[in-house]
Amino acid sequence: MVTILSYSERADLQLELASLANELISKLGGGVSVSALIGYNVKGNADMLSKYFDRVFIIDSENLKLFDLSNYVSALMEVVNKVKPDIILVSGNRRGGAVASALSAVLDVGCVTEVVKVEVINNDVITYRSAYGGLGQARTRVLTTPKIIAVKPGAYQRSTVTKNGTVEELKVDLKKSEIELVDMKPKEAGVKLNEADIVVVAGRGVKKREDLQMLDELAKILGGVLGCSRPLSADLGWFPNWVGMSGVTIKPRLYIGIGVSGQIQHVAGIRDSKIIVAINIDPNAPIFEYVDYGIVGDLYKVVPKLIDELKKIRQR
Amino acid sequence: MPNIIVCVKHSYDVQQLRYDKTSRKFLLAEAPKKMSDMDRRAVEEALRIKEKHGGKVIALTVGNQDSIDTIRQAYAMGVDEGYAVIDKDFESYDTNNVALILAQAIRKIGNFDLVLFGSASTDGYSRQVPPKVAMYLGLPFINFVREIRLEGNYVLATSDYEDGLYTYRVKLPALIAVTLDINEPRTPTPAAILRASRKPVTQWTLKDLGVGALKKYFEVLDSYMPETPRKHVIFDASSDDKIPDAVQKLIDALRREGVI
Ligand SMILES: Cc1cc2nc3c(=O)[nH]c(=O)nc-3n(C[C@H](O)[C@H](O)[C@H](O)COP(=O)(O)OP(=O)(O)OC[C@H]3O[C@@H](n4cnc5c(N)ncnc54)[C@H](O)[C@@H]3O)c2cc1C
Repeated sequence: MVTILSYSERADLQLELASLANELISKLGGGVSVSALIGYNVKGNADMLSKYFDRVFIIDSENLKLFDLSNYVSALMEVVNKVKPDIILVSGNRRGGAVASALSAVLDVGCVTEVVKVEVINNDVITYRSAYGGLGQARTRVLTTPKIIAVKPGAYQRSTVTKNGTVEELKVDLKKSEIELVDMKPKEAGVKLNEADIVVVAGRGVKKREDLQMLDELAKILGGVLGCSRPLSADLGWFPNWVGMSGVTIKPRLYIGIGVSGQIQHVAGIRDSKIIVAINIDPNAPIFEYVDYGIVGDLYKVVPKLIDELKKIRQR
Repeated sequence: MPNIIVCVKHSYDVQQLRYDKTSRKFLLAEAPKKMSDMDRRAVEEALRIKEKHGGKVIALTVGNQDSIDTIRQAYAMGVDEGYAVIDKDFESYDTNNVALILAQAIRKIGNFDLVLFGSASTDGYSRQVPPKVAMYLGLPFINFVREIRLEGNYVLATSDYEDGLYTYRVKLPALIAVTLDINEPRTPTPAAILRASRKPVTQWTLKDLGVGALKKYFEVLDSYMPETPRKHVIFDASSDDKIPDAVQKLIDALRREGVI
Protein backbone atom coordinates (compact mmCIF):
# COMPACT_ATOMS: atom_id res chain seq x y z
CA MET A 1 0.00 0.00 0.00
CA VAL A 2 1.55 3.25 -1.07
CA THR A 3 0.57 6.76 -0.12
CA ILE A 4 1.05 9.37 -2.80
CA LEU A 5 0.81 13.03 -1.89
CA SER A 6 0.20 15.60 -4.64
CA TYR A 7 0.69 19.33 -4.43
CA SER A 8 0.34 22.24 -6.80
CA GLU A 9 -0.81 25.77 -6.11
CA ARG A 10 -3.02 25.40 -9.18
CA ALA A 11 -6.08 23.18 -9.07
CA ASP A 12 -5.88 22.34 -12.80
CA LEU A 13 -2.33 21.06 -12.36
CA GLN A 14 -3.42 19.02 -9.33
CA LEU A 15 -5.67 17.09 -11.70
CA GLU A 16 -2.69 16.24 -13.90
CA LEU A 17 -0.93 14.92 -10.78
CA ALA A 18 -4.06 12.92 -9.92
CA SER A 19 -3.63 10.98 -13.19
CA LEU A 20 -0.05 10.09 -12.39
CA ALA A 21 -0.89 9.28 -8.75
CA ASN A 22 -3.61 6.84 -9.90
CA GLU A 23 -1.25 5.26 -12.41
CA LEU A 24 1.49 4.79 -9.79
CA ILE A 25 -0.95 3.43 -7.22
CA SER A 26 -2.17 0.77 -9.62
CA LYS A 27 1.35 -0.19 -10.70
CA LEU A 28 2.67 -0.29 -7.13
CA GLY A 29 -0.05 -2.61 -5.88
CA GLY A 30 -2.65 -0.22 -4.53
CA GLY A 31 -2.75 2.66 -2.10
CA VAL A 32 -4.23 6.07 -1.45
CA SER A 33 -3.91 9.39 -3.22
CA VAL A 34 -3.75 12.52 -1.11
CA SER A 35 -3.98 16.12 -2.23
CA ALA A 36 -2.53 19.06 -0.29
CA LEU A 37 -4.55 22.22 -0.85
CA ILE A 38 -2.39 25.02 0.47
CA GLY A 39 -2.81 28.77 0.22
CA TYR A 40 -5.05 31.64 1.24
CA ASN A 41 -8.79 31.49 0.53
CA VAL A 42 -8.39 28.19 -1.29
CA LYS A 43 -11.04 26.13 0.56
CA GLY A 44 -13.40 26.56 -2.37
CA ASN A 45 -11.38 24.05 -4.38
CA ALA A 46 -11.60 21.25 -1.80
CA ASP A 47 -14.84 19.71 -3.07
CA MET A 48 -13.59 19.63 -6.62
CA LEU A 49 -10.30 17.98 -5.57
CA SER A 50 -12.14 15.40 -3.44
CA LYS A 51 -13.68 14.10 -6.65
CA TYR A 52 -10.19 13.10 -7.87
CA PHE A 53 -8.24 12.19 -4.70
CA ASP A 54 -8.96 9.82 -1.82
CA ARG A 55 -8.07 12.41 0.80
CA VAL A 56 -7.75 16.18 0.64
CA PHE A 57 -6.01 18.22 3.33
CA ILE A 58 -6.57 21.97 3.44
CA ILE A 59 -4.17 24.43 4.97
CA ASP A 60 -5.59 27.89 4.59
CA SER A 61 -3.78 30.81 6.18
CA GLU A 62 -3.40 34.50 5.63
CA ASN A 63 0.35 33.95 5.90
CA LEU A 64 0.17 31.96 2.66
CA LYS A 65 -1.28 34.85 0.70
CA LEU A 66 2.18 35.79 -0.43
CA PHE A 67 4.37 33.10 -1.95
CA ASP A 68 6.98 32.73 0.77
CA LEU A 69 8.83 29.50 0.08
CA SER A 70 9.59 28.63 3.71
CA ASN A 71 5.94 29.08 4.71
CA TYR A 72 4.74 26.92 1.84
CA VAL A 73 7.24 24.25 2.80
CA SER A 74 6.19 24.42 6.47
CA ALA A 75 2.56 23.98 5.46
CA LEU A 76 3.35 21.05 3.19
CA MET A 77 5.47 19.47 5.95
CA GLU A 78 2.36 19.38 8.13
CA VAL A 79 0.59 17.20 5.55
CA VAL A 80 3.72 15.09 5.02
CA ASN A 81 3.97 14.40 8.76
CA LYS A 82 0.29 13.51 8.87
CA VAL A 83 0.14 11.04 5.95
CA LYS A 84 3.77 9.83 5.70
CA PRO A 85 3.81 9.61 1.90
CA ASP A 86 6.02 7.25 -0.10
CA ILE A 87 6.00 9.58 -3.08
CA ILE A 88 5.39 13.32 -3.22
CA LEU A 89 4.30 14.63 -6.62
CA VAL A 90 4.57 18.34 -7.27
CA SER A 91 3.65 20.13 -10.45
CA GLY A 92 6.88 21.71 -11.64
CA ASN A 93 5.76 25.15 -12.73
CA ARG A 94 7.97 27.97 -11.43
CA ARG A 95 6.58 28.05 -7.90
CA GLY A 96 6.07 24.28 -7.71
CA GLY A 97 9.62 23.42 -8.75
CA ALA A 98 10.96 25.60 -5.94
CA VAL A 99 8.55 24.07 -3.40
CA ALA A 100 9.67 20.55 -4.39
CA SER A 101 13.36 21.50 -4.12
CA ALA A 102 13.03 23.30 -0.80
CA LEU A 103 10.93 20.48 0.66
CA SER A 104 13.65 18.04 -0.37
CA ALA A 105 16.23 20.06 1.59
CA VAL A 106 14.04 20.32 4.68
CA LEU A 107 12.99 16.64 4.65
CA ASP A 108 16.54 15.62 3.72
CA VAL A 109 15.32 13.40 0.88
CA GLY A 110 15.95 13.29 -2.86
CA CYS A 111 14.05 15.18 -5.50
CA VAL A 112 13.92 15.13 -9.28
CA THR A 113 12.51 18.03 -11.31
CA GLU A 114 11.54 18.57 -14.98
CA VAL A 115 10.07 15.07 -15.15
CA VAL A 116 8.18 14.16 -18.32
CA LYS A 117 7.50 10.47 -17.68
CA VAL A 118 7.45 8.08 -14.72
CA GLU A 119 7.74 4.30 -15.05
CA VAL A 120 7.55 1.48 -12.57
CA ILE A 121 10.00 -1.35 -13.23
CA ASN A 122 10.21 -4.16 -10.66
CA ASN A 123 8.57 -1.90 -8.10
CA ASP A 124 11.23 0.72 -8.73
CA VAL A 125 10.14 4.21 -9.75
CA ILE A 126 12.13 5.44 -12.76
CA THR A 127 11.83 9.07 -13.78
CA TYR A 128 12.64 10.53 -17.18
CA ARG A 129 13.80 14.12 -17.46
CA SER A 130 15.65 16.31 -19.91
CA ALA A 131 19.45 16.25 -19.84
CA TYR A 132 22.13 18.73 -20.85
CA GLY A 133 19.95 21.76 -21.25
CA GLY A 134 17.19 20.01 -23.15
CA LEU A 135 19.49 18.36 -25.69
CA GLY A 136 19.01 14.86 -24.38
CA GLN A 137 17.04 12.74 -21.99
CA ALA A 138 18.06 11.02 -18.77
CA ARG A 139 16.65 8.06 -16.86
CA THR A 140 16.93 8.86 -13.20
CA ARG A 141 15.97 7.54 -9.81
CA VAL A 142 15.39 9.09 -6.42
CA LEU A 143 17.05 6.89 -3.82
CA THR A 144 15.22 7.94 -0.65
CA THR A 145 11.77 7.51 0.87
CA PRO A 146 9.80 9.61 0.40
CA LYS A 147 10.73 10.50 -3.15
CA ILE A 148 9.91 13.96 -4.44
CA ILE A 149 9.03 14.13 -8.12
CA ALA A 150 8.32 17.47 -9.82
CA VAL A 151 6.46 16.81 -13.06
CA LYS A 152 6.42 19.20 -16.00
CA PRO A 153 3.01 20.81 -16.47
CA GLY A 154 1.29 19.20 -19.44
CA ALA A 155 3.22 15.93 -19.21
CA TYR A 156 0.10 14.15 -17.95
CA GLN A 157 -3.54 14.61 -18.92
CA ARG A 158 -6.00 15.74 -16.28
CA SER A 159 -7.55 12.82 -14.43
CA THR A 160 -11.06 11.76 -15.36
CA VAL A 161 -11.33 8.99 -12.75
CA THR A 162 -13.76 10.23 -10.16
CA LYS A 163 -13.57 9.40 -6.47
CA ASN A 164 -15.42 10.32 -3.35
CA GLY A 165 -12.60 11.62 -1.20
CA THR A 166 -12.61 13.00 2.33
CA VAL A 167 -11.74 16.59 3.18
CA GLU A 168 -9.95 17.60 6.35
CA GLU A 169 -8.55 20.93 7.45
CA LEU A 170 -5.22 21.20 9.28
CA LYS A 171 -4.11 24.14 11.38
CA VAL A 172 -0.50 25.27 11.22
CA ASP A 173 1.25 28.09 12.99
CA LEU A 174 2.99 30.06 10.30
CA LYS A 175 5.09 33.12 10.92
CA LYS A 176 4.47 36.34 9.12
CA SER A 177 6.76 36.41 6.09
CA GLU A 178 9.86 38.58 6.14
CA ILE A 179 9.11 39.26 2.49
CA GLU A 180 6.65 41.94 1.52
CA LEU A 181 4.87 42.25 -1.82
CA VAL A 182 5.08 45.84 -3.04
CA ASP A 183 3.79 45.51 -6.58
CA MET A 184 2.20 42.98 -8.89
CA LYS A 185 1.59 43.35 -12.59
CA PRO A 186 -0.54 40.51 -13.94
CA LYS A 187 0.40 39.08 -17.31
CA GLU A 188 -2.19 38.77 -20.01
CA ALA A 189 -3.22 35.13 -20.04
CA GLY A 190 -2.20 34.51 -23.66
CA VAL A 191 -3.29 31.48 -25.64
CA LYS A 192 -2.95 28.04 -24.06
CA LEU A 193 -0.13 26.84 -26.29
CA ASN A 194 0.07 23.40 -24.70
CA GLU A 195 -3.59 22.68 -25.37
CA ALA A 196 -3.60 23.60 -29.05
CA ASP A 197 -3.62 20.98 -31.80
CA ILE A 198 -1.69 23.11 -34.25
CA VAL A 199 0.90 25.68 -33.19
CA VAL A 200 2.59 28.16 -35.52
CA VAL A 201 5.70 29.62 -33.89
CA ALA A 202 7.19 32.95 -34.87
CA GLY A 203 10.96 33.30 -34.43
CA ARG A 204 13.46 36.12 -34.62
CA GLY A 205 13.33 35.88 -38.42
CA VAL A 206 10.13 37.95 -38.13
CA LYS A 207 11.34 41.51 -38.43
CA LYS A 208 8.47 43.68 -37.21
CA ARG A 209 5.59 43.27 -34.84
CA GLU A 210 3.07 44.04 -37.62
CA ASP A 211 4.37 41.03 -39.54
CA LEU A 212 2.89 38.77 -36.88
CA GLN A 213 -0.52 39.40 -38.46
CA MET A 214 0.52 37.31 -41.42
CA LEU A 215 1.57 34.43 -39.18
CA ASP A 216 -1.57 34.77 -37.12
CA GLU A 217 -3.61 34.50 -40.29
CA LEU A 218 -1.79 31.29 -41.18
CA ALA A 219 -2.45 29.88 -37.72
CA LYS A 220 -6.15 30.75 -37.97
CA ILE A 221 -6.60 29.19 -41.41
CA LEU A 222 -5.11 25.99 -40.02
CA GLY A 223 -7.32 26.18 -36.93
CA GLY A 224 -4.28 26.63 -34.70
CA VAL A 225 -2.71 29.26 -32.47
CA LEU A 226 0.33 31.52 -32.76
CA GLY A 227 3.22 31.29 -30.30
CA CYS A 228 6.82 32.46 -30.41
CA SER A 229 10.44 31.66 -29.56
CA ARG A 230 11.99 33.19 -26.47
CA PRO A 231 13.45 36.43 -27.91
CA LEU A 232 10.07 37.61 -29.21
CA SER A 233 8.64 37.38 -25.71
CA ALA A 234 11.54 37.91 -23.32
CA ASP A 235 13.42 40.55 -25.32
CA LEU A 236 10.75 42.20 -27.46
CA GLY A 237 7.66 41.70 -25.29
CA TRP A 238 5.41 40.77 -28.22
CA PHE A 239 3.94 37.72 -26.45
CA PRO A 240 3.26 36.88 -22.78
CA ASN A 241 5.03 33.49 -22.99
CA TRP A 242 7.19 31.43 -25.31
CA VAL A 243 7.72 27.88 -26.48
CA GLY A 244 10.70 25.89 -25.19
CA MET A 245 12.49 24.49 -22.22
CA SER A 246 12.29 27.65 -20.15
CA GLY A 247 8.81 28.44 -21.45
CA VAL A 248 5.94 26.17 -22.42
CA THR A 249 6.50 22.58 -23.56
CA ILE A 250 4.13 21.63 -26.36
CA LYS A 251 3.23 18.43 -28.18
CA PRO A 252 0.74 19.43 -30.86
CA ARG A 253 -0.27 17.40 -33.90
CA LEU A 254 1.49 20.00 -36.07
CA TYR A 255 4.25 22.48 -35.18
CA ILE A 256 5.34 25.04 -37.78
CA GLY A 257 8.40 27.10 -36.85
CA ILE A 258 8.81 30.20 -39.00
CA GLY A 259 12.10 32.09 -38.79
CA VAL A 260 13.09 29.91 -35.82
CA SER A 261 16.74 28.80 -35.82
CA GLY A 262 16.17 25.69 -33.69
CA GLN A 263 18.52 26.16 -30.73
CA ILE A 264 18.24 23.18 -28.44
CA GLN A 265 16.46 25.10 -25.67
CA HIS A 266 13.67 25.75 -28.14
CA VAL A 267 13.70 22.25 -29.63
CA ALA A 268 13.50 20.75 -26.11
CA GLY A 269 10.00 22.17 -25.88
CA ILE A 270 8.67 20.86 -29.22
CA ARG A 271 10.36 17.49 -29.50
CA ASP A 272 7.23 15.45 -28.86
CA SER A 273 5.16 17.17 -31.55
CA LYS A 274 3.67 14.71 -34.04
CA ILE A 275 4.76 16.56 -37.20
CA ILE A 276 7.44 19.27 -37.16
CA VAL A 277 7.68 21.78 -40.01
CA ALA A 278 10.09 24.69 -40.41
CA ILE A 279 10.39 27.58 -42.80
CA ASN A 280 13.82 29.20 -42.68
CA ILE A 281 15.95 31.15 -45.12
CA ASP A 282 19.15 29.47 -43.95
CA PRO A 283 19.58 25.90 -45.28
CA ASN A 284 22.02 25.22 -42.44
CA ALA A 285 19.68 26.31 -39.64
CA PRO A 286 19.77 23.65 -36.88
CA ILE A 287 15.97 23.39 -36.92
CA PHE A 288 16.19 21.37 -40.14
CA GLU A 289 17.79 18.53 -38.17
CA TYR A 290 14.55 18.12 -36.26
CA VAL A 291 11.90 18.47 -38.96
CA ASP A 292 9.63 16.18 -40.90
CA TYR A 293 9.16 18.81 -43.58
CA GLY A 294 11.03 22.02 -44.22
CA ILE A 295 11.03 24.85 -46.68
CA VAL A 296 14.26 26.70 -47.29
CA GLY A 297 13.15 30.18 -48.24
CA ASP A 298 12.24 33.70 -47.20
CA LEU A 299 9.28 33.59 -44.85
CA TYR A 300 8.06 36.91 -46.30
CA LYS A 301 7.57 35.21 -49.65
CA VAL A 302 6.71 31.67 -48.59
CA VAL A 303 4.10 32.40 -45.94
CA PRO A 304 1.87 34.62 -48.16
CA LYS A 305 1.91 31.93 -50.83
CA LEU A 306 1.10 29.27 -48.26
CA ILE A 307 -1.83 31.33 -46.99
CA ASP A 308 -3.14 31.81 -50.56
CA GLU A 309 -3.00 28.12 -51.37
CA LEU A 310 -4.62 27.09 -48.10
CA LYS A 311 -7.40 29.60 -48.73
CA LYS A 312 -8.04 28.06 -52.13
CA ILE A 313 -8.37 24.63 -50.54
CA ARG A 314 -10.77 25.96 -47.93
CA GLN A 315 -12.93 27.52 -50.65
CA ARG A 316 -13.21 24.32 -52.60
CA MET B 1 28.27 48.83 1.14
CA PRO B 2 27.01 45.36 0.34
CA ASN B 3 29.12 42.23 0.16
CA ILE B 4 27.72 39.97 -2.51
CA ILE B 5 28.50 36.29 -3.00
CA VAL B 6 27.65 34.97 -6.47
CA CYS B 7 27.49 31.20 -6.96
CA VAL B 8 28.62 30.14 -10.43
CA LYS B 9 28.71 26.77 -12.16
CA HIS B 10 31.17 25.55 -14.75
CA SER B 11 28.65 24.02 -17.16
CA TYR B 12 28.85 22.03 -20.33
CA ASP B 13 28.29 24.31 -23.28
CA VAL B 14 25.23 22.40 -24.41
CA GLN B 15 25.10 24.15 -27.78
CA GLN B 16 28.39 22.46 -28.61
CA LEU B 17 27.78 19.08 -27.04
CA ARG B 18 27.97 16.21 -29.55
CA TYR B 19 26.82 12.61 -29.27
CA ASP B 20 27.92 9.29 -30.66
CA LYS B 21 25.56 8.37 -33.48
CA THR B 22 25.42 4.67 -32.62
CA SER B 23 25.44 4.58 -28.82
CA ARG B 24 23.59 7.93 -28.66
CA LYS B 25 25.67 8.82 -25.60
CA PHE B 26 27.08 12.31 -25.17
CA LEU B 27 30.76 12.91 -25.84
CA LEU B 28 31.38 14.64 -22.53
CA ALA B 29 35.15 14.29 -22.43
CA GLU B 30 35.62 16.53 -25.45
CA ALA B 31 32.76 18.94 -24.69
CA PRO B 32 33.71 22.56 -24.02
CA LYS B 33 32.57 24.16 -20.77
CA LYS B 34 31.78 27.73 -19.77
CA MET B 35 30.17 29.69 -16.98
CA SER B 36 26.45 28.87 -16.90
CA ASP B 37 24.39 31.51 -18.76
CA MET B 38 22.19 32.68 -15.89
CA ASP B 39 25.14 32.68 -13.48
CA ARG B 40 26.98 35.04 -15.81
CA ARG B 41 24.05 37.41 -15.49
CA ALA B 42 24.13 37.06 -11.71
CA VAL B 43 27.80 38.11 -11.78
CA GLU B 44 26.94 41.05 -14.02
CA GLU B 45 24.15 42.13 -11.69
CA ALA B 46 26.43 41.94 -8.66
CA LEU B 47 29.00 44.10 -10.46
CA ARG B 48 26.34 46.66 -11.34
CA ILE B 49 25.21 46.80 -7.71
CA LYS B 50 28.80 47.32 -6.66
CA GLU B 51 29.31 50.07 -9.23
CA LYS B 52 26.34 51.88 -7.68
CA HIS B 53 26.66 51.09 -3.98
CA GLY B 54 30.25 50.01 -3.44
CA GLY B 55 31.07 46.85 -1.52
CA LYS B 56 32.65 43.67 -2.73
CA VAL B 57 31.75 40.87 -5.16
CA ILE B 58 32.86 37.31 -4.43
CA ALA B 59 32.48 34.43 -6.90
CA LEU B 60 32.09 30.90 -5.52
CA THR B 61 31.95 27.59 -7.35
CA VAL B 62 31.95 23.90 -6.54
CA GLY B 63 33.22 21.47 -9.14
CA ASN B 64 36.13 19.58 -10.65
CA GLN B 65 39.58 21.07 -10.99
CA ASP B 66 38.51 22.60 -14.33
CA SER B 67 35.81 24.70 -12.61
CA ILE B 68 38.55 27.15 -11.63
CA ASP B 69 38.16 28.40 -15.24
CA THR B 70 34.76 29.75 -14.31
CA ILE B 71 36.22 31.70 -11.39
CA ARG B 72 38.78 33.11 -13.84
CA GLN B 73 35.92 34.14 -16.14
CA ALA B 74 34.28 35.87 -13.17
CA TYR B 75 37.57 37.63 -12.35
CA ALA B 76 37.80 38.80 -15.96
CA MET B 77 34.34 40.33 -15.61
CA GLY B 78 35.51 42.19 -12.52
CA VAL B 79 34.78 40.30 -9.30
CA ASP B 80 37.04 40.97 -6.32
CA GLU B 81 37.56 37.50 -4.86
CA GLY B 82 37.19 33.94 -6.11
CA TYR B 83 36.63 30.69 -4.21
CA ALA B 84 36.43 27.16 -5.58
CA VAL B 85 35.46 24.04 -3.68
CA ILE B 86 37.20 21.28 -5.61
CA ASP B 87 36.28 17.63 -5.51
CA LYS B 88 37.14 14.98 -8.07
CA ASP B 89 33.82 13.20 -7.51
CA PHE B 90 31.83 16.30 -8.39
CA GLU B 91 30.17 14.65 -11.43
CA SER B 92 28.38 12.20 -9.17
CA TYR B 93 26.96 14.85 -6.84
CA ASP B 94 23.23 15.45 -6.71
CA THR B 95 21.63 18.81 -6.05
CA ASN B 96 21.32 18.11 -2.30
CA ASN B 97 25.09 17.54 -2.15
CA VAL B 98 25.93 20.67 -4.16
CA ALA B 99 23.57 22.84 -2.13
CA LEU B 100 24.94 21.56 1.15
CA ILE B 101 28.53 22.26 0.07
CA LEU B 102 27.68 25.74 -1.21
CA ALA B 103 25.84 26.55 2.02
CA GLN B 104 28.88 25.49 4.05
CA ALA B 105 31.22 27.53 1.85
CA ILE B 106 28.97 30.60 2.10
CA ARG B 107 28.98 30.26 5.90
CA LYS B 108 32.76 29.97 5.86
CA ILE B 109 33.20 33.06 3.66
CA GLY B 110 30.75 34.80 5.99
CA ASN B 111 30.02 38.52 6.23
CA PHE B 112 27.67 38.77 3.22
CA ASP B 113 24.57 40.82 2.54
CA LEU B 114 23.33 39.20 -0.61
CA VAL B 115 23.78 35.79 -2.23
CA LEU B 116 23.05 35.62 -5.95
CA PHE B 117 22.45 32.59 -8.14
CA GLY B 118 21.25 31.90 -11.68
CA SER B 119 17.78 30.31 -11.41
CA ALA B 120 18.89 27.30 -13.47
CA SER B 121 22.18 26.00 -14.78
CA THR B 122 22.64 25.64 -18.52
CA ASP B 123 23.43 21.92 -18.41
CA GLY B 124 21.63 20.53 -15.35
CA TYR B 125 18.62 22.81 -15.49
CA SER B 126 17.07 21.30 -12.37
CA ARG B 127 16.42 24.69 -10.70
CA GLN B 128 16.93 22.93 -7.36
CA VAL B 129 20.11 24.40 -5.94
CA PRO B 130 19.10 28.01 -5.09
CA PRO B 131 15.95 27.12 -3.08
CA LYS B 132 17.88 24.39 -1.25
CA VAL B 133 20.73 26.71 -0.28
CA ALA B 134 18.13 29.23 0.94
CA MET B 135 16.61 26.54 3.17
CA TYR B 136 19.98 25.39 4.51
CA LEU B 137 21.03 28.95 5.31
CA GLY B 138 17.59 30.03 6.54
CA LEU B 139 17.66 33.04 4.23
CA PRO B 140 14.61 34.69 2.65
CA PHE B 141 14.53 33.68 -1.01
CA ILE B 142 13.28 35.45 -4.13
CA ASN B 143 13.33 33.42 -7.34
CA PHE B 144 13.20 34.09 -11.11
CA VAL B 145 14.26 37.69 -10.62
CA ARG B 146 14.55 40.04 -13.60
CA GLU B 147 15.19 43.28 -11.72
CA ILE B 148 17.06 44.11 -8.51
CA ARG B 149 17.26 47.39 -6.62
CA LEU B 150 18.99 48.05 -3.34
CA GLU B 151 17.47 50.54 -0.90
CA GLY B 152 19.54 50.88 2.27
CA ASN B 153 19.25 47.62 4.17
CA TYR B 154 16.53 46.35 1.88
CA VAL B 155 16.44 44.77 -1.54
CA LEU B 156 13.60 45.08 -4.03
CA ALA B 157 13.40 42.27 -6.54
CA THR B 158 10.93 41.54 -9.33
CA SER B 159 10.04 37.88 -9.82
CA ASP B 160 8.80 36.64 -13.16
CA TYR B 161 6.05 34.08 -12.56
CA GLU B 162 3.73 32.54 -15.12
CA ASP B 163 0.85 34.76 -14.03
CA GLY B 164 2.61 38.06 -13.44
CA LEU B 165 5.55 40.15 -12.33
CA TYR B 166 5.77 40.30 -8.53
CA THR B 167 7.98 42.89 -6.87
CA TYR B 168 9.07 41.92 -3.36
CA ARG B 169 10.91 43.84 -0.69
CA VAL B 170 12.99 42.13 1.94
CA LYS B 171 15.62 43.02 4.48
CA LEU B 172 19.19 41.91 3.82
CA PRO B 173 20.73 39.35 4.01
CA ALA B 174 18.75 37.55 1.35
CA LEU B 175 19.22 35.02 -1.42
CA ILE B 176 18.11 35.88 -4.95
CA ALA B 177 18.13 33.77 -8.13
CA VAL B 178 18.04 35.61 -11.46
CA THR B 179 16.78 34.76 -14.95
CA LEU B 180 18.32 35.38 -18.38
CA ASP B 181 16.28 38.55 -18.76
CA ILE B 182 17.88 40.55 -15.96
CA ASN B 183 20.73 42.08 -17.99
CA GLU B 184 23.11 41.65 -20.88
CA PRO B 185 26.42 40.60 -19.33
CA ARG B 186 29.63 42.42 -20.25
CA THR B 187 32.31 40.81 -22.43
CA PRO B 188 35.69 41.00 -20.68
CA THR B 189 38.55 42.73 -22.50
CA PRO B 190 41.62 40.67 -23.48
CA ALA B 191 43.63 42.65 -20.90
CA ALA B 192 41.12 41.76 -18.17
CA ILE B 193 41.26 38.09 -19.19
CA LEU B 194 45.04 38.16 -18.94
CA ARG B 195 44.96 39.84 -15.52
CA ALA B 196 42.38 37.30 -14.36
CA SER B 197 44.71 34.43 -15.16
CA ARG B 198 47.13 35.72 -12.49
CA LYS B 199 44.59 36.32 -9.72
CA PRO B 200 44.65 33.90 -6.81
CA VAL B 201 41.71 31.50 -6.41
CA THR B 202 41.12 30.24 -2.88
CA GLN B 203 40.68 26.49 -3.15
CA TRP B 204 38.89 24.39 -0.54
CA THR B 205 38.30 20.68 -0.19
CA LEU B 206 35.21 19.17 1.43
CA LYS B 207 37.35 18.56 4.50
CA ASP B 208 38.21 22.27 4.73
CA LEU B 209 34.47 22.90 4.95
CA GLY B 210 33.88 20.19 7.54
CA VAL B 211 31.72 18.23 5.09
CA GLY B 212 32.02 14.49 5.68
CA ALA B 213 30.76 11.58 3.58
CA LEU B 214 27.94 12.66 1.32
CA LYS B 215 24.68 10.77 1.35
CA LYS B 216 23.27 9.76 -2.05
CA TYR B 217 19.80 11.06 -2.72
CA PHE B 218 19.44 10.70 -6.46
CA GLU B 219 21.11 8.98 -9.37
CA VAL B 220 21.22 9.26 -13.13
CA LEU B 221 20.94 5.76 -14.61
CA ASP B 222 21.91 6.96 -18.06
CA SER B 223 21.58 9.92 -20.38
CA TYR B 224 21.34 9.80 -24.13
CA MET B 225 20.12 11.57 -27.23
CA PRO B 226 16.57 10.23 -27.66
CA GLU B 227 15.64 8.83 -31.03
CA THR B 228 12.84 10.79 -32.58
CA PRO B 229 12.73 9.61 -36.15
CA ARG B 230 11.86 12.50 -38.42
CA LYS B 231 11.37 12.45 -42.14
CA HIS B 232 13.71 15.32 -43.02
CA VAL B 233 12.05 16.18 -46.32
CA ILE B 234 13.27 19.62 -47.39
CA PHE B 235 11.71 21.68 -50.18
CA ASP B 236 13.79 24.36 -51.81
CA ALA B 237 12.17 27.76 -52.18
CA SER B 238 15.35 29.77 -52.24
CA SER B 239 14.48 31.43 -55.56
CA ASP B 240 11.11 32.95 -56.39
CA ASP B 241 10.28 30.54 -59.20
CA LYS B 242 10.58 27.57 -56.85
CA ILE B 243 8.17 28.89 -54.22
CA PRO B 244 4.85 27.69 -55.73
CA ASP B 245 6.14 24.17 -56.13
CA ALA B 246 7.64 24.00 -52.63
CA VAL B 247 4.45 25.34 -51.03
CA GLN B 248 2.30 22.88 -52.98
CA LYS B 249 4.51 19.96 -51.96
CA LEU B 250 4.34 20.98 -48.31
CA ILE B 251 0.55 21.21 -48.39
CA ASP B 252 0.31 17.82 -50.11
CA ALA B 253 2.59 16.27 -47.53
CA LEU B 254 0.64 17.71 -44.60
CA ARG B 255 -2.63 16.49 -46.08
CA ARG B 256 -1.17 13.02 -46.54
CA GLU B 257 -0.12 13.09 -42.89
CA GLY B 258 -3.68 14.02 -42.00
CA VAL B 259 -2.62 17.01 -39.91
CA ILE B 260 -4.42 19.67 -41.96
C1 LIG C 1 19.07 28.65 -20.32
C2 LIG C 1 18.42 29.02 -21.62
C3 LIG C 1 17.08 28.74 -21.81
C4 LIG C 1 16.45 29.07 -23.01
N1 LIG C 1 15.14 28.74 -23.18
C5 LIG C 1 14.54 28.96 -24.38
C6 LIG C 1 13.19 28.55 -24.61
O1 LIG C 1 12.52 27.98 -23.75
N2 LIG C 1 12.64 28.81 -25.83
C7 LIG C 1 13.34 29.44 -26.83
O2 LIG C 1 12.77 29.64 -27.93
N3 LIG C 1 14.61 29.83 -26.62
C8 LIG C 1 15.22 29.62 -25.43
N4 LIG C 1 16.51 30.05 -25.24
C9 LIG C 1 17.15 30.86 -26.27
C10 LIG C 1 17.71 30.02 -27.40
O3 LIG C 1 19.02 29.63 -27.08
C11 LIG C 1 17.76 30.86 -28.70
O4 LIG C 1 18.45 32.04 -28.45
C12 LIG C 1 16.37 31.20 -29.23
O5 LIG C 1 15.55 30.07 -29.27
C13 LIG C 1 16.53 31.79 -30.61
O6 LIG C 1 15.28 32.22 -31.10
P1 LIG C 1 15.00 32.30 -32.64
O7 LIG C 1 15.21 30.98 -33.25
O8 LIG C 1 13.66 32.90 -32.80
O9 LIG C 1 16.05 33.40 -33.12
P2 LIG C 1 17.42 33.25 -33.91
O10 LIG C 1 18.28 32.21 -33.32
O11 LIG C 1 17.93 34.61 -34.07
O12 LIG C 1 16.97 32.67 -35.32
C14 LIG C 1 16.30 33.40 -36.29
C15 LIG C 1 16.18 32.51 -37.50
O13 LIG C 1 15.39 33.18 -38.47
C16 LIG C 1 15.93 32.91 -39.74
N5 LIG C 1 15.50 33.99 -40.63
C17 LIG C 1 15.91 35.28 -40.65
N6 LIG C 1 15.26 35.96 -41.60
C18 LIG C 1 14.43 35.11 -42.21
C19 LIG C 1 13.50 35.23 -43.28
N7 LIG C 1 13.28 36.36 -43.92
N8 LIG C 1 12.81 34.12 -43.64
C20 LIG C 1 13.01 32.93 -43.02
N9 LIG C 1 13.86 32.77 -42.00
C21 LIG C 1 14.57 33.84 -41.60
C22 LIG C 1 17.42 32.84 -39.55
O14 LIG C 1 18.01 32.06 -40.57
C23 LIG C 1 17.52 32.19 -38.18
O15 LIG C 1 17.66 30.78 -38.30
C24 LIG C 1 17.16 29.72 -24.04
C25 LIG C 1 18.51 30.01 -23.85
C26 LIG C 1 19.16 29.66 -22.67
C27 LIG C 1 20.60 29.96 -22.51
